Amino acid sequence: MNTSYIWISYLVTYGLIVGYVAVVWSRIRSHRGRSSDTRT
Amino acid sequence: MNRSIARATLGSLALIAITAGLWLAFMSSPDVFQRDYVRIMYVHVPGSWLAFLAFGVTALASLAWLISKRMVFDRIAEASAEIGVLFTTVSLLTGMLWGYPVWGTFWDWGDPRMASTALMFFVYLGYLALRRAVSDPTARARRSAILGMIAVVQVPLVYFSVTLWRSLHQGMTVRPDGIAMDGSMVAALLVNIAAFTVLYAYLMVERTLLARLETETAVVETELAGRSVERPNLEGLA
Repeated sequence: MNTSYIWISYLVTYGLIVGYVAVVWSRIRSHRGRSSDTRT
Repeated sequence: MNRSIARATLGSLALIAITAGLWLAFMSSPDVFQRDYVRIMYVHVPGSWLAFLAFGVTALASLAWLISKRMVFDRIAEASAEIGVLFTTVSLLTGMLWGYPVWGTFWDWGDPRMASTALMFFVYLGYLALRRAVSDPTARARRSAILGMIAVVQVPLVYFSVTLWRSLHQGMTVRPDGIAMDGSMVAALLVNIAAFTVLYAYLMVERTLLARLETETAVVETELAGRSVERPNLEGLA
């Protein structure tokens, strides 16, 4: 039995989730920075 | 409760639930036929469930926007559709990674579950593309709300495709007459489904916050752009 299919499935799943969260956090931070810049 | 504390609490809950789900996924019994490949089901099935849930929420929020015209529903529909596409990707990729060792093929266009899931994926990619193609917020909300309500008919079609048509995909495991699985597998599956649902709630909070910030930034930038435009001097031209 080749267990690499199982590991790759978990890496793909959690890699996509962590990547998505990182992108959303980064965009939230960037927008907060921009809104504070425009207020000043 | 402070909003950032509530966000952090929900994020921590999602992390704890996912850790518990991972532990159960690797501690549960292997399947008689699929052996350890059954462990892929503990991310594949929750991924599919979240895609269905997310597209259902998109449809409900679209309906709520059409009735109330409140932009908060448009932001919920957008956030949920994006998360739904993410988890449809998870479902498709993990399904392929399970299919090759168990069925001997990564993909079969003749299989109604695979084909209908791929179609659903592309329709919701189109939904997200439509949102980026229309700049007017009201027109964007109206058009995407209509598409969001039409596209959701695919969810029951994908779910029942294994019983409606001849399929390579296995039939429904959870049926009215019971669950055709060992107890430890049911526990692993249910905990992972619950963990992914908590994760969905957390992702929704973060993504709708981002959508709100994007709207606020767009409003501020439009106001600033308007201030910088000066009336042209037309004296002497008349």
